[in-house]
Amino acid sequence: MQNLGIEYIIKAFPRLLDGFIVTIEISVSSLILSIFFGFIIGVLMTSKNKVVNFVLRIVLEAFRLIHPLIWLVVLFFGVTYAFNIQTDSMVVSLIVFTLWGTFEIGDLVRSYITSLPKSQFEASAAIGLTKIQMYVYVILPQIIIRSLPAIVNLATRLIKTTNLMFLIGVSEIMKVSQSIIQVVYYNNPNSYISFTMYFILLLVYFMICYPLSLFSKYLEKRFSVV
Amino acid sequence: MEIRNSFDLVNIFIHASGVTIEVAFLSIIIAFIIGLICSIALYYKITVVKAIIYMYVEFFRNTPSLVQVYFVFYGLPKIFVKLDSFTCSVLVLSLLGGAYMCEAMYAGMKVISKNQRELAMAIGLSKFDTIRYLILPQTISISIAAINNNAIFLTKEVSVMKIILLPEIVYQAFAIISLRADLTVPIMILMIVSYLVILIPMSYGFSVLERKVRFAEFGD
Repeated sequence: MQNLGIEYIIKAFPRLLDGFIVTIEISVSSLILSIFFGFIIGVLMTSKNKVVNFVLRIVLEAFRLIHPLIWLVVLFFGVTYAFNIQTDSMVVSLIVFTLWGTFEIGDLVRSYITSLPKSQFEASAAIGLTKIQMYVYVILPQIIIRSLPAIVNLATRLIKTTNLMFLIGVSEIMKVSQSIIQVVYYNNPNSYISFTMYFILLLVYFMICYPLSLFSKYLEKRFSVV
Repeated sequence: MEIRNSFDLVNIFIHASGVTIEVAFLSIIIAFIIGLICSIALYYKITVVKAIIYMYVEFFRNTPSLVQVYFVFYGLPKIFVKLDSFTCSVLVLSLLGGAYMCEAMYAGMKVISKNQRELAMAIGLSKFDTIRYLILPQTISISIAAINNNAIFLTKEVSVMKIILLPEIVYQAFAIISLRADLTVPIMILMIVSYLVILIPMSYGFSVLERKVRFAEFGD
């Protein structure tokens, strides 16, 4: 039992918590930002302007086809080198995950708006609503309720994906646990710490994501439009 | 490998793409088989097995693949066996994909009405024949879109295996940058291009496949 290294994990618990808070911070702030921008992009995607549509389509496909990890690397190493500017790894992760979420939500919002019956748009024009009033009072309230399950789902995916940012040096939970493992090995090379530590990490992630995915399923049932 | 000209660079990325495709191909096939077996077990509601499969699916769907692969690569050798990075990547990706595939196929199976199963029993089809001729064709036709999405997801997820030193695209990019910082920009471009070269034909091929498979549903 000694070799499991649990006492080290308990000792380093405050540091783990710090790392965990960074994970949650980035996930939550990029989720909020991507909901905000996602609705704007979604509305823009339904516009009839060909140029806007084309550009948004290209960016959407880029974020769909290419893993966020690649974007992190490209923005962190590539942009720094190409333009000779200092990039902060936290800011880069926030930008990448926000853009990723924005286009996920944007595409969803676009598909929901196009699936609404045309009569709603015509009726709101007939009672004299301006374009902005139409979106604020008629279209968006329906879309927000319908996209709730997908937003919760995106939250779990963000939490699962944000741990990639330790590859560009953000000291989140993954990075902290690696340094704990190194310290323990230094003191006791026969320790089972890597097994214990990663197992605990798996459990922690599971305990956060599983309730969220249940909640998303519940919302889907509750708000499903038959 | 020494980099003398840009041709060498392209060559490295071609090899790396080969590794990515190999791992992705193997894990998609295994994941499909796992998903199929698990979803059939869920469909027939085999008591204990059902609970185990449910736990397996939820566990893999709700934990990050990065931690899973670290656990298998660095954690398991302590108590069980040591796997090399190739086996480890295929193992983790197949299990991860299997969980997603099971979810997708089970959702497709649930749509098949109970009537059809009773009819199959009435005309004396064995259990295996029922699965072979009745359930499988319909399931695959209904959930082909989700299966394709999962396959593309798995191919993208191979890049995470960089962290256990699988020599795929992102690993090579990191390796070259750490030696030759002056090559950063061409490497970034090559990295994105190699992913696009893999993924665009793949997603096009899948959309063709989807139209072919769903022929039964939509007619032409």
